[in-house]
Amino acid sequence: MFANKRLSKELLKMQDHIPPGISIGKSDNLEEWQMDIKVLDDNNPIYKGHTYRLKFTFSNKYPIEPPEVQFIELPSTSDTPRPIPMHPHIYSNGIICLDLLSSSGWSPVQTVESVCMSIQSMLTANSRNERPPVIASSWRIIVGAFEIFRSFMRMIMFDVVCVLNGI
Amino acid sequence: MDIQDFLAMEANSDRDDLVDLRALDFVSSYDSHLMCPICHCPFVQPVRLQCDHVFCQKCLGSAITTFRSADSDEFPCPSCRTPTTRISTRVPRLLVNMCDEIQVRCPLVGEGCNEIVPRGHVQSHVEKYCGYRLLPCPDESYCRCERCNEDVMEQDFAEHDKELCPSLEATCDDCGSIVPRRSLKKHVETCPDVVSACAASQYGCSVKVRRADIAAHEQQCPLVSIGPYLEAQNTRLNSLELTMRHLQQRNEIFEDGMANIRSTLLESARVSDADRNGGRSAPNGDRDGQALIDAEDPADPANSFSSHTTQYLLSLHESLREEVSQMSHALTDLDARASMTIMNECLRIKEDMAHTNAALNSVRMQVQWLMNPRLHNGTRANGMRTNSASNESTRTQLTSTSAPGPSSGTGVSLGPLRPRRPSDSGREGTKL
Repeated sequence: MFANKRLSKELLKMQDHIPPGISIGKSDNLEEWQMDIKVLDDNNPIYKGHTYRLKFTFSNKYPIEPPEVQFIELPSTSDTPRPIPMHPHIYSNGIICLDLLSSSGWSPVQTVESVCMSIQSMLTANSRNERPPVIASSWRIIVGAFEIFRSFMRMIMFDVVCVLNGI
Repeated sequence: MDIQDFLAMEANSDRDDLVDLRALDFVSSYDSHLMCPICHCPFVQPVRLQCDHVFCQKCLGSAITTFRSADSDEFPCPSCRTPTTRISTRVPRLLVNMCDEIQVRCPLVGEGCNEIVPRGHVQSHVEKYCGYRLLPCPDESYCRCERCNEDVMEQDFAEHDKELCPSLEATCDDCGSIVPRRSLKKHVETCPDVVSACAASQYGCSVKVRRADIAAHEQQCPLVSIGPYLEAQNTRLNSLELTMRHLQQRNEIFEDGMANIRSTLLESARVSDADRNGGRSAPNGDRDGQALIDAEDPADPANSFSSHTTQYLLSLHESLREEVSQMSHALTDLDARASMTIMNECLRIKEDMAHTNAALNSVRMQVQWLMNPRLHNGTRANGMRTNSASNESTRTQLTSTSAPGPSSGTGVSLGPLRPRRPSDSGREGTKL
């Protein structure tokens, strides 16, 4: 109830006035909104000419609890193509690694608008066209598991040899 | 005041307010500086932190419980993250007054109140002055009803108290027992003392007894036992009536049609009558003058009409009969002609058939005749040469003998050297 009141107030305010580069994608209920953001810096070749879509999912304890915010991808064949931006803190599935969105970094003073502006500035400040090192770490996990499996097999083989020799 | 005290105060001040000040419909726009950054409403009971940031007391309380690191004495200000230990409930009077001055709509607008009051007054307005507030029915003290929890508007309360409250007691007229008003209807349906009529009352049983005794009566009542039969009869009668009405309607339609036909007939008869009169009037006008017709016409309108009609119809009949006889004559004539042509055609076809038969027979003979030496040749392999010579001679013989009649000329002209083909002679024979 508290969340709904606050969200309807925010929506009214954003419909009245919204900062440049931010627009409302979808806000037909008070549980999930979609916002479109654009990087306004035309000199940045990574984000130039693209629009990205953010999905906000609100719990009923908003704004005391942070909303879940992530980028979502709309296929390039649709009317409004929305890719996932390249950023060292944004995973290819759209999840954003941002202190502001964690429960420790969140403050109830934040609004949907301020979160959008934070993410916008986070993209604007970036110049590295890369993803977080997720693939390297998972590869390391696979290699480690394989090593464990090999040592286990070696142990079993040793036992079998012992039994065969009658020891 | 430190945080612990503040939280304790917040927990104690858990008042049950009539009006939720955050849910109000603000009529005028208010300055964004008067807005709590957490709930985005004008401050409700504002409190101030060390860093001079102001929040509602309730909003700050929920923020502190969520964000305070376990049991420490400080927590970060939601706006500027300054570590805070002390909270002051003393905020400038100016701020409180400005917040209380904002115009709001009465929260009972759904019930019909259209008042617009300052926010500071809305609490007392709803408590004391608003006529649309829902009140609980004070049933315990007034009408001794036990379970009336219905909410009644203040303006309707007097009426509810005296007449409408479903928990008021009512007395059953028949058995004298006292039941609550809300179950009176149900009670009357089942009350054993209510006098009710026999189930067969619609078929003429005039007995009326108490409900308790009615079962015994119904076992004896003869009308009840034939009730189903009567019911079936009733339904049948009803359906018959329905069909009858339907038929009546159709009958009316037919009668209308008949009347129409009659009127058109009459019309046409009158027209023909008028024609005949006109035809007659021309010579009459020469001989006797107009006066005679005038005297004659009104004298026998109906009589002359009927006689003229019959005459006309008879003449029509006569002419039709003549036409029919003519038609039959023509028909017989046609019949005779057709049979003649058919006979002629049959004769021709028969002749043709005879010719064909003859030709076929001759062809068969020839084929047999030809086949025989071949068979002989097959059996006697050594005498080939002599046979072929004899074949030549026989073939000439055959052509001259086997095609008699009209085809003989052509058959001879073929000569002995020409080889015979199965398709040759048959057709030549049938040519006429």
